[in-house]
Amino acid sequence: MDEAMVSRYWCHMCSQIVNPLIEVEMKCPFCQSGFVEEMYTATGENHETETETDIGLGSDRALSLWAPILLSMMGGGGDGTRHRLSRRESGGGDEEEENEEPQRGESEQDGELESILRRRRRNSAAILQLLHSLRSWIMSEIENSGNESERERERDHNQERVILINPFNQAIILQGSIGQSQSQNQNQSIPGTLGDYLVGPGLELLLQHLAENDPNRYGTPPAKKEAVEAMPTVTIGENLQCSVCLEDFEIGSGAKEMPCKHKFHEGCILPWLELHSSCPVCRCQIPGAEDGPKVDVEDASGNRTDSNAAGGERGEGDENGRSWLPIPWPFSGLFSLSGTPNVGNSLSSASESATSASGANNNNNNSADEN
Amino acid sequence: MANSNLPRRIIKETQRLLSEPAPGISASPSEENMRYFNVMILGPTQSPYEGGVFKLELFLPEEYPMAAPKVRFLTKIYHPNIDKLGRICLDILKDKWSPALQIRTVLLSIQALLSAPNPDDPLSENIAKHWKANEAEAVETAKEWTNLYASGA
Repeated sequence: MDEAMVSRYWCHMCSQIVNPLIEVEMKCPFCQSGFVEEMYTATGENHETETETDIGLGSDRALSLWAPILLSMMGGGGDGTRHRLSRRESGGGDEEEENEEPQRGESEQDGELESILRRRRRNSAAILQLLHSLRSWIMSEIENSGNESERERERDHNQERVILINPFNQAIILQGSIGQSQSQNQNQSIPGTLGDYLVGPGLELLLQHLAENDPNRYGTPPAKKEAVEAMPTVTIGENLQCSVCLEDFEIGSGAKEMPCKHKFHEGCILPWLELHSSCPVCRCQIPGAEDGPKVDVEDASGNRTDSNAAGGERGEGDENGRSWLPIPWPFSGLFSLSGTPNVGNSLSSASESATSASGANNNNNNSADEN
Repeated sequence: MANSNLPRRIIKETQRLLSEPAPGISASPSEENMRYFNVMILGPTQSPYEGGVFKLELFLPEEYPMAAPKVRFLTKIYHPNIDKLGRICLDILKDKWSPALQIRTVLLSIQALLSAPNPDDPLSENIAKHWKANEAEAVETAKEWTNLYASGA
């Protein structure tokens, strides 16, 4: 697979494509840092015209409006987020992503974080669904028009559409000119336009990164609301540290207690339970929520009982006869055509199909205990 | 970057990393970005990486500790669970992340991964194949790479 890749480099410090200085080790020519990462780009046959020189380093091509929109839908960043969504229709083109700076004071951080995480979860599902339908649309387009003409069209536009993604802060820039190119045909609807810009390896990459960067992508599902509400608040009577914020509890103060008896500050554990249903310390699971991207568990995995049996030590949290089972990432089909390497999550996808409870303690108890 | 808004937990972790470094591990934050750490891990004794000094970079995303740190080897290393870009196949960096884990525990886990390569859950297919087909030879290659790239120059 490696041979099929063209190397591009992304400077995580400058957040841009760079042509690194290669001395003893690689360096960004601008900031001199070594935090430069080779970017994988699939070079399928549709894009044989796309070469490194096409990138136009430092060219000030218009940055796409779409990328920040997608980004902000995913990221649930600052206040600009929702406005951008509505501005989508107007299509003005010069916003760049700027929502990476935290825009909140320390005091309000907890509540803010909470709501961001909540928003993020909803948005992630929404955007992935959008992309999913977009994807199907594109695929049917391609089938209809045939590969050959698709390629022609690509060439005509003479535009590489590179989606640049900074995996560390989720900054995404879709590079390519948005102003031109709608010369062709039939579907001038929004999906058509969007699709046009997202055709190609960039889309695969975008989808992959969106999925990978979604905190919800990995691990247990969000905790069930009732289970969270059912958690008692207990009074701290001994010296104890909250493992999430690493601060000591005040004696006599209240703390949330998980069924496994591990205690956390309310403001520390709730944001986690909005994302996952496991105890941060022992991974014991409380019931997971059924909201979020829905997949019929039985249909999707077909082995409900097997998984359950293997799951072994699930806590008592099963009163309703419902339990969470590891489910295949519902959008994994999106990536099936991908030429991009998916190595990054090989382990996790493997372990996700295993049960969440069993084996969960194997790997890092030692290290966790080391604290 | 966002140094001004650095959460207390990150500050605490950083202080402790600097004041009580774990054996064979050093991690120091970058001056420009306190969420970015330059990391060095000594190759564990009794491993093919013994004697090597491995540089890594670690970044704490905005969501940290609700999301795992991003870690990557900068030094080339021949290991079935580390690919040529230095990306690491380790469950606690993905689905097994927990906010009770810390920079320190992540780095200790990575150090442990060096002692216990797992070719059954590979990130580098070729290296894993090599490891399974002829472990002695693969270990030899890993040692060579350690000498070549991680000799602390």
